Amino acid sequence: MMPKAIKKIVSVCGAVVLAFGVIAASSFSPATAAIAEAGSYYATITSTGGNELLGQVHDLITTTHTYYTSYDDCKNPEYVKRTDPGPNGQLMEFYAQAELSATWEFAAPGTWNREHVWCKSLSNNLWNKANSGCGSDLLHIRPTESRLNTDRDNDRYGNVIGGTEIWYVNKSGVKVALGGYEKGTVFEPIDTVKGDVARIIMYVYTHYNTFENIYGTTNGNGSPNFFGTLNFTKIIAATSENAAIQILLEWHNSDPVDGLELARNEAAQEIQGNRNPFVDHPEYAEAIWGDEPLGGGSQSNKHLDDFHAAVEGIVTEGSLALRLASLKKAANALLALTESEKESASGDVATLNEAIDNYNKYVASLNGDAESANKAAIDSAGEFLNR
Amino acid sequence: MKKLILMFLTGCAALCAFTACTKGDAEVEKIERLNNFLEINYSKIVLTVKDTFIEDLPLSDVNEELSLTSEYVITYTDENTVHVDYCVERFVQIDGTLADENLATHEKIKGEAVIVDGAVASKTDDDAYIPPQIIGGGLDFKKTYFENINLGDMYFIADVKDPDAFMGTAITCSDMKVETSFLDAFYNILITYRSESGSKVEIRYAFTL
Repeated sequence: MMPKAIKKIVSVCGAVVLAFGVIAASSFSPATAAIAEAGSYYATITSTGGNELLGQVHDLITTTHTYYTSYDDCKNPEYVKRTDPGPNGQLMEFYAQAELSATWEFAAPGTWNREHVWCKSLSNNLWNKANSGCGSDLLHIRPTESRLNTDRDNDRYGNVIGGTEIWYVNKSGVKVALGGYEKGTVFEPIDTVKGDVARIIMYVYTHYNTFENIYGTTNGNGSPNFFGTLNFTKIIAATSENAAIQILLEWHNSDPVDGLELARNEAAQEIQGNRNPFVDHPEYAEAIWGDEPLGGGSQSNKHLDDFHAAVEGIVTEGSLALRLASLKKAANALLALTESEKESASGDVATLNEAIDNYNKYVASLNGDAESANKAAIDSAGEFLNR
Repeated sequence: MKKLILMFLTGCAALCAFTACTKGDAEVEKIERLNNFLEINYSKIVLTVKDTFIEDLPLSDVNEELSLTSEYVITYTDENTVHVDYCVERFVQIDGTLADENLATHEKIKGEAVIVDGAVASKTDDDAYIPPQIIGGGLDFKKTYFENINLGDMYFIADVKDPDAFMGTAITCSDMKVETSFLDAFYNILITYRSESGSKVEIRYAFTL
């Protein structure tokens, strides 16, 4: 039996380790207490996977996003020390994972500035102006060393071979820590940051796609201008959405959630109201985009089920906007199928194509009607045009 | 006595007929005077065409309207030259790229045409209708084209019973009506009708001196 004095030392050391573990760099295991406390945040999530889960998660993180921070908020040292805490009370540089002074020095080399993990120029103009919405979301914008930020520029993320090393360089010009690799217009973060990048991208995609795209029901209280259409291929160097998703899942699984990300979630919830669900529940990623629904089992047929449901949901009567939205939903569900799945769903594919054909015929008839009216109007203006 | 009464009644009838005739003649003249307003050299005419397709949503009490609105701004650069800036709206057809994030239901085709001496000298290459030769025709205000006339000093409202003749072009439609306001020139003309397919068409002219 362990002596009392030693028990006390052990318990104190354990507490110190646990406390330090929450704020140190990526080398320690996640703080399960943080996840447990966040558990009630996810009470509304009932789905086990696929688009239904995606929609529920979108609704959750948008409705709980009660305060949309400004771009100035993102350079507030007091905020960034909480969302990206360094081991010595300063901030943790995002790509190189090395501590940097939190003092804002207007992006001088060797100091930090605000990095859009999902570049503004690749955002489909959603946060291109005034950095609003996602462009100033604390769960998105990360502090990076200025030169490293410039070097990454608006590269998409991906795996590179033989890329150029990109370093965090301090004010004295000394290389401090490796930040990643660049080849052409592709940037590959270091291994211990890949998961962080993937989970931020998943968060941005899930939050800022408008609810019609994301199987949700609401965009919460965010301005409608904050929401639009985002595809993974905009930010991941891949030739298809499926290929981009594979890269994201690979990075997400290879670099697990760390204490820094959990601390960020806590700070973000306190400041802006919501959390990154792929940090608290990394299993959501595979459940939504992979082949592992929550609770086990396989969802290899989930994509097919989603496609079947989307085709069944095609609207052929009513407003054009409604019909077009239902066709887009089915077409997006088709994109998620493999070639063999498309073959097995050939009947539904034909139904979708027929529905598109009928839509086109319908609008062609409306356009014809309008063209006749325009023609009659211009012809009746004869004397005004014949001077 | 009987003869006197008969003469009096005949005289009254004749007077009534004459009065009606004179009044009718005045109305004809007033309506056809509107054609003079068509001859005025306006500096700008804005022609707007709105086609509304009213749909009934199933299981709903709300009628939802779909419409297309096109606009033609007609200005005059010199005596023989007419400039038309147009913005034609139409519905977008799907070409297979449904995943296009910018796909919307409507699109606008903008362009311009220059007409010299009644012939189109130049035109932005698109599908908007501007005939290569403007062969004349156009609106014609003649009383025989109208019924249920309501005519004031500054307005004219009527049902059009001969749309082809009034519009100066063949047109298949029903329930055509015209409303116009004027003083010494037109302020505006509004022509409405039901197209062959049942849609509601509104053609509006707005005049600037």
